[in-house]
Amino acid sequence: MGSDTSKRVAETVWNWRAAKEPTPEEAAQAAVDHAAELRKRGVIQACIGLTIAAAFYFGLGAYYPKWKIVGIIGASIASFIGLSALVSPTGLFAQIERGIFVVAHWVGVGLTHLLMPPIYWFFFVPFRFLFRRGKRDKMLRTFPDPSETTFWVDRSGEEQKPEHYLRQF
Amino acid sequence: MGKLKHSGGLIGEFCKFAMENKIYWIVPLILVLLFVAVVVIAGTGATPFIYTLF
Amino acid sequence: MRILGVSAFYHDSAAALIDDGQIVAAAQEERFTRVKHDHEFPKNAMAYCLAEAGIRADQLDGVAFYDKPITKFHRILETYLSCAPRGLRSYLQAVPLWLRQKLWIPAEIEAVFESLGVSMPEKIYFPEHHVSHAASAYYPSPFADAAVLTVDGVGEWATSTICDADGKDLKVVREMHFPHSLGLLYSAFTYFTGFRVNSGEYKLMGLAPYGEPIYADKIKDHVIDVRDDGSFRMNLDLFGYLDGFTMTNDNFAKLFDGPARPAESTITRREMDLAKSIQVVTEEIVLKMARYARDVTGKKNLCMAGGVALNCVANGKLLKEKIFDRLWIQPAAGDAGGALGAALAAWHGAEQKPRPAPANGRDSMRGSYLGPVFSDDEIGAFLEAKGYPAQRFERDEWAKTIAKAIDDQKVIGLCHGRMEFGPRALGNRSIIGDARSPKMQSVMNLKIKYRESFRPFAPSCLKERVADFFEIDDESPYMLLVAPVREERCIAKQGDERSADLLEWVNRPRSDLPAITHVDYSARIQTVDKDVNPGYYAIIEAFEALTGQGIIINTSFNVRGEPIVCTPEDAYRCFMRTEMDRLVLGSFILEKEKQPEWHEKDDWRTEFKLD
Repeated sequence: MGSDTSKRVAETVWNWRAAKEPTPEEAAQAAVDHAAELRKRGVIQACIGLTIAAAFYFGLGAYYPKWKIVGIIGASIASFIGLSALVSPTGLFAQIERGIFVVAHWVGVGLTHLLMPPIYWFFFVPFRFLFRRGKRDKMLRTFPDPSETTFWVDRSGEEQKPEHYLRQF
Repeated sequence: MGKLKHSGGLIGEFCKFAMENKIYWIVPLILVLLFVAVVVIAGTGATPFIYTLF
Repeated sequence: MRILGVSAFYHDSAAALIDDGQIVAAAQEERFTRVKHDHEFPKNAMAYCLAEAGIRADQLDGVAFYDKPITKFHRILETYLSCAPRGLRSYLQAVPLWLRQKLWIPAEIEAVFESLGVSMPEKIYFPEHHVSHAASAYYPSPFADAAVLTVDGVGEWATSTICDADGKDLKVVREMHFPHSLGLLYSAFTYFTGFRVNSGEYKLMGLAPYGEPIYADKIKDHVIDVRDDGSFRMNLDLFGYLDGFTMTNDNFAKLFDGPARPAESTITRREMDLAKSIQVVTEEIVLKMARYARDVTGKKNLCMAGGVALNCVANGKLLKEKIFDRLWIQPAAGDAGGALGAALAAWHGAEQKPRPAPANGRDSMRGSYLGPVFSDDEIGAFLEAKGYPAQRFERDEWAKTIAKAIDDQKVIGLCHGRMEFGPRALGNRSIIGDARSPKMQSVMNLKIKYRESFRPFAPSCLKERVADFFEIDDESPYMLLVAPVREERCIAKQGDERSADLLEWVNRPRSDLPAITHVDYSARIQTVDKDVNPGYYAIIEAFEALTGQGIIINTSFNVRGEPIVCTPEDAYRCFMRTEMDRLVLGSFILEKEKQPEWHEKDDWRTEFKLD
């Protein structure tokens, strides 16, 4: 094996040289970069929030004045997030972000449990009884099953074309 | 948004699969599940979507 | 043409790279992330494969994923359809995961390529799960044509297949369908006897020699309806895996005299007898399947893959029965090997590229040494930078020094050459010791692996000497065959052992190679070939010159629950955490007593989940 390959492999999977403790200057620089990134993210999020809030206030709010309040609340929250990112990117903003992620996660879990069961009850349960009545159950439950001489499925007659490899079924 | 780009292909393949194997019930089910998937997916997939609501 | 094979999102993710059909590299993701059975997309293994080949991701011509997601999802939906209204909890767990990730394989692959700043290859291949297994067993095999038998838990629908392979053509001729699965049946007994599914199957197999097959008839009467051709149907009233979170249910417990053994509790007579019984039934089914495969294909050689092909006891029986003239088993027979198989299936099956006739009766797995190697220069620089004292040796002296240490009853960690692909350590990421020592088994178990084990260690012996030690006349390069220790080496049984404590029982000497002889006088053999692994061969050869016995203990270089070590740094960490005496890193040998004191912030023993 060439030394180039060996070097490349080591750099890819065992980069122990880079894993050394950063110097205080490097650590300080990394902290500054991290804060700048958070600040940028917070400002972008605030801009998106303000745009949506403006849409509510000036768009929907123009026809239905009650919706203006949603715009005002949205703009306040967006401004708060933007300010927190500018003032305390690694402190307050990072905490807000973490909090929102946790809430978003649980909202997602909640919605999953809210929307997935109806599909189960309205689809799987009735179809199961329909299929069973039509004697169509892929799980083949009869045990023991003297009516069958073998449980192997014969595929020898099947054409296995090269293009079958390119599809997901 | 990578999934959005691939969703047409995925639904198309499901349709072909259903036609070839005569498993027609799978098409509406998949459409409903994929539709629901956009809204409900817990964790990373849903987070940015919900985040923009704030 | 370069194709990257990928297995991911279930267990044991892996990547493999082939270039014009030649295997370039293959590795499991867990070795890099240090998360056992890691199931995430194998980004690190992929990066390694690309580095080994010296190419960028955009120079790949295709990616092969190891199964067909749509067919698999259809099977999942059919399962819920069949079980409704039971199974809601399982559905709520499984289906969202499918909708979030498993149905979006092209998008997942694209995201990985985008993160590398390149677009993904145009061609994404999806061979069937069992075709991936079959391809991994046949294409690298030393046979020009063969029957292929794949047996595992489940792929899309298939749980076992028989393929007919000739030249580049690999054709599925028979298959058996979910939920009737020998892999799942074995896993159900693994669960019921208190071991972890997907990793405890090996322990169940190791427990079998302690038991009597008293439940075998019960299994055949009530659990599984087996036909002469090896096909079968399972009694689904006994199992929980269709609609629940457990492999077996209360009916199963009633049939087998009580509930499942809780993990880590005392192993009783019942578990031993259950282990033996399911082992006997498994062997019977595998032999029947093999006979049928021979009838259906008319081939003289057999290739095997799929998790059940890791059952080396059954493989040993298969070899002994001489149903086929020759047998070859893919060393990465589990799902990790599917990555390699998928790439090979794409090359020969989808691209229709010819398969050159195997030369000199050798397989093309190169000893399964398909992972990263680290140069002496790199290791030397690391040792120097860290201040770890070590001595560098030339090959002859190196082997002699290690052999001498083995003879001095030292336990040695061995990290040299390319890392193995598959679940077994085959001498490059191994812990080695003296097989002749009656104490070595318990020393290695308690001081090095931190486990109490009822399983003896496996031996590595020189290929030419295998018949001196064991009742076998074939090679077993991948530690996938079990055979009896030669009778003249054995010591007769002392009274009724069945009343003895499990650990005392296993530690009783049974032959002049006590550390590797199981209670039934068998051993799980690795034969070492000089051409395939000259370094490891040299160590055993030097040990033979010193002691007259060309055989040593070989166990994987890790502690319980930890993935096998990959880099010299992983090896050094494991060396310092345990009571190993010597560490071999490439041409360097390190002595424990000369190393600086080892400090760690946290208790590392909590780092790994027990398997």
